[in-house]
Amino acid sequence: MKHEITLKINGETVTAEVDSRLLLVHFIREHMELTGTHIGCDTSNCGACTILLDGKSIKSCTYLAVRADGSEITTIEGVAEEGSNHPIQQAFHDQHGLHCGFCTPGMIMRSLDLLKNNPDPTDEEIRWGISGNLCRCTGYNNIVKAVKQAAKEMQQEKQPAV
Amino acid sequence: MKAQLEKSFEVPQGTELVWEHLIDPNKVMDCVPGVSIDEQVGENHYKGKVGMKFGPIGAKYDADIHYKEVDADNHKIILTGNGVDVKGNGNAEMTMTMNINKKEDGGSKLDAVMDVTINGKIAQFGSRLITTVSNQLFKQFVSNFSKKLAAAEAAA
Amino acid sequence: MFNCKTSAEVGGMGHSVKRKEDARFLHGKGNYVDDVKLPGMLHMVMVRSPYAYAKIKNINKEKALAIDGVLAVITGEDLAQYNLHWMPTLLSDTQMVLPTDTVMHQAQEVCAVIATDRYVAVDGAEAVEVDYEPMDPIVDPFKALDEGAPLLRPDKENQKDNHIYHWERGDREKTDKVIADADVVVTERIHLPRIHVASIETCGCVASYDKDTEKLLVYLTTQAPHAIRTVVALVAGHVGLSEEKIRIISPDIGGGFGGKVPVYPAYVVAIAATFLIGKPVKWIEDRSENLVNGFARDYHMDCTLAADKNGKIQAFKVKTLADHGYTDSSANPSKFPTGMFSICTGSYDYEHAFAELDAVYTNKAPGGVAYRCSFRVTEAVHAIERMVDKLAHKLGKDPAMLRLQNFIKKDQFPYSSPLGWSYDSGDYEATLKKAMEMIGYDDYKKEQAEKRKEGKLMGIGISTFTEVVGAGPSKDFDILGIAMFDSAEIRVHPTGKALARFGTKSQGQGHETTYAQILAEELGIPYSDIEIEEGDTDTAPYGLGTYASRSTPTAGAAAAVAARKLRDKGKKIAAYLLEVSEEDLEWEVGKYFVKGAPEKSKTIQEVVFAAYTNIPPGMEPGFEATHYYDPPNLTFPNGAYICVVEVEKETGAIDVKRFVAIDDCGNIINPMIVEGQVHGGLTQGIAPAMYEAIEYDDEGNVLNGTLMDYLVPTAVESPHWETGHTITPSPHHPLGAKGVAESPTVGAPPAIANAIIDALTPLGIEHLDIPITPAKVWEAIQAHS
Repeated sequence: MKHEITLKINGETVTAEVDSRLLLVHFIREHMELTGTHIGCDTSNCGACTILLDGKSIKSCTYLAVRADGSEITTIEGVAEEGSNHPIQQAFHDQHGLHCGFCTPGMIMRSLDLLKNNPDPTDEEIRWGISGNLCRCTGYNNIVKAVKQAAKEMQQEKQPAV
Repeated sequence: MKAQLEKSFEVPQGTELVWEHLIDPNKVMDCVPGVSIDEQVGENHYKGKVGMKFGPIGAKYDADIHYKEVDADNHKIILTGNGVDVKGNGNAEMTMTMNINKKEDGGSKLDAVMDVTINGKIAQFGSRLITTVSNQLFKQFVSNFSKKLAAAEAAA
Repeated sequence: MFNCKTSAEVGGMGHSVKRKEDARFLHGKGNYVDDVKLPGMLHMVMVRSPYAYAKIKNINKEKALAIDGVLAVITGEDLAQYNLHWMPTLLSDTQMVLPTDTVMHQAQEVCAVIATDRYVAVDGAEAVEVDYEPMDPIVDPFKALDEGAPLLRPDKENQKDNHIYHWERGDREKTDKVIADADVVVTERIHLPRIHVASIETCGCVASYDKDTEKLLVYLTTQAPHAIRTVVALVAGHVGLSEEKIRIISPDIGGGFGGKVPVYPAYVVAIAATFLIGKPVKWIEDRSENLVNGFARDYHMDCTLAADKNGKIQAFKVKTLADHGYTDSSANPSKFPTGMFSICTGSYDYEHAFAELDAVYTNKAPGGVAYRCSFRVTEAVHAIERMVDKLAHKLGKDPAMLRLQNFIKKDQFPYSSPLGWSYDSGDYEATLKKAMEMIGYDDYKKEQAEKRKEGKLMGIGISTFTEVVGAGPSKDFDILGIAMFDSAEIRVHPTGKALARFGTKSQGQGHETTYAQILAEELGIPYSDIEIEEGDTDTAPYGLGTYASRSTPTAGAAAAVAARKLRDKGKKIAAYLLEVSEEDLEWEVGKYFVKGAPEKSKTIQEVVFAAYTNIPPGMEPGFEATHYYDPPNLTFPNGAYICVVEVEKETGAIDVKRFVAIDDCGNIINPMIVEGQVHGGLTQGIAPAMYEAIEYDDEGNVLNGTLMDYLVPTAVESPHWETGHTITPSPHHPLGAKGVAESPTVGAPPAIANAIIDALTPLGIEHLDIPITPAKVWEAIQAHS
């Protein structure tokens, strides 16, 4: 069964007809061709598909596209203007917080939500905060450092958390 | 995967009424959620369907149900059930031994031991849930069976 | 600590320059296989067996084909028409692409459904009806060799039982004699269970055959694109796919760790499907398909270590049973069925050793990949490092002192190991002492003594490992006969900027930065002016790919040698431009200058420009070089890791308090990247030590085939890693470098296991197999109290 949904993705309003069973992550990746949001596990464990929905991080692999009707979505492609880095992107780069890059978009989207709710987290709070996102390459040390750096810079710049 | 479940429950009805229900597959299977008897294919031998859901994973078995032992003197049955998933997603086997014991107050105590072997998708993805789901199913069975017995008693 | 020859701007060796590849990943512009979308692309989904061992009586395609959008259901019978239903493995065994009559493990591919849409393909797979006749599987490898065990591979000629091969190294007789005469002997059966690399990106491909041009293009999650091209040509040559018409592109890879070395059946089916249909076919593995196909480890090792009463190690012996699943598809060099397992004598100096291994078939998935280690080195290191600790406990000696006593000394290198390796370099004593100092070893020893008085369980564990990486010299190392060299091709453009291509393939290791730094070091061209490309077989020079920590030892060396060829050419051009003879010139990073007159010089950029514009008479124009590097030896990175844990007696909960890792990987190209690789490897070390194992029940069902049940460590389980280095350059590598990214995965598990077991020693517990979970610890505590 088809449904018409209207939502805002990275600032752009989109209307589309989707199947009832279409997962939001497939809508984002295949219909919108925003392939920065990844699929890693199908069971909400790895967090590679994390996006912001109405400002909150969710795992889009277990969220139906129809349920996102009327919502506002930000994906990794919408975090910064083209050609520039959001402080969180800069921090991941500076602190070597990524290796293969597959978990990175989800990790960044999750971190943005974390920092919105806790602008000055401790290492421990960061570790718990990103514990729904798996990274197989980095061992997390540098991701923790990156989130810390971003926290500091976002507080100084009063950068909106997207 | 293999699992053994041991369960006991009590009903206020006497052993004869319980026994009568227990050896009639149409009466007893009616109380097991997701199970239906389609036809009798031999003495103490029936075919039916079993549907189960373990979290996200479901299975629908074409089942072969057999009263292997019916010991009226001791009020003991041994029941085997074999099922193959209709979509080829695996199979399941169960052997259940059940005893009815007379209680001092005139009611009955039922003791069941079930040995279950499950292969395929359910074992692969639902194994963590099997005990929980089985407990839930058993609770529903006890509730249905007790109601049926009470209704039979009232009718009699 | 790092002596940089170049300025930060040039960014040669020793500079922690930021990674060049980051930008696309940070902005969601990475291009992974599932991001590839070709016109008219179809989707493929595999139907998989629910049984570990069963006859296939019938496959009914009808209901699947009746679904709108399902175009084809491909079975083993269909492939058999083209003789594509079986394929060879790297170790001369055979593996089914799709079965015609029998399935050999749960989740084995049974048939493939091709449809116009991903969801419809899944519907099709659900609708395929397969009639199985289940059989009793062999799950326990020890029972595989029992008298009367069913013969799992009757398809193989001369296969009389489930034994695959026997392998041995060393002198059995002498080793046995030394052990029999030794003062102290310790023994243990150690199991390293099946684990899965579980890279966050699963495997997949997009295969596209053009019937008009007869060209096959495959985007593939592969760590070795060139080898795959050759394999496809060898396997499918008879149907008309010849190597010049095959192009393999390995795009961005979301983690490899060895799991993306093999050729999986579904790749072959996708290629067959596009070949027959003439449209692109995409297959993307889901997570549970990923976790139950392919594996690492699964060695059962009976170990014996002998020493004199003073603790001097005299002999080591190990007898191993390897569970390979239903076929030996281990990703090893051809002549090394057990990989580098014979590195199991470790970092210690003694004369006698014997290692043997028998491999068996069972009804489990085939695999035998690395899990972030050089071929079977983790198994070897775990065996010796656990046994050395056990010996220390038996002797009542401090495990650190016992190690210091037995280390191969710095001046003994190159060192010939009892099982035939020539260790290139190391300073084991310095490395361990640095780790002890950094963690405060003596203080922890005191603290432990105090805690033990209070009845508290605290443990300190050490691992001082030696790895063997960088395969390898062509006289010994090949894959399907192809020597394991690797390659670099450098093109310097007229304006002094460069493009370099390699036969390896990064999966997150940072090659685009590291290789650029090597060239910056050698040529003086800033790393930021050098683009690095890998993974496209149409453009990159032939190489055997990235795994077993081989990229820096082989392709990194190739880059240095190719750059030196260019420097030689540049010198001729500079001499011509400066009107002096070559002998009068000297090289200093980025320029040639006249000896004694440094003001007379030409920069590399000026020289390169001249190579295109003002060529010396008789010289070949251009500024390009290629080198295929055949390493003279492997490299032997090593390290000393110390772990401190506390165990809660009441619950078995394990708290990793500290973990210090000192690595010696020779000269370091980018310290930031090396440190990052070590962090990641350490988390993949704690993973099998405490969390991960693929578990089978007696019927051959995989019990943890999702990330809900297979416990990949999160940031919470992963400790804060403390790292450091000693630097003992490799004497034979052009840059003095060694591989590094796998050392921590190899070295960490025994350090953690040793720490936990050390904590439990007061209770009389002598050994626990990994993963050492709280439940396992709790049970052991109950059994010993």
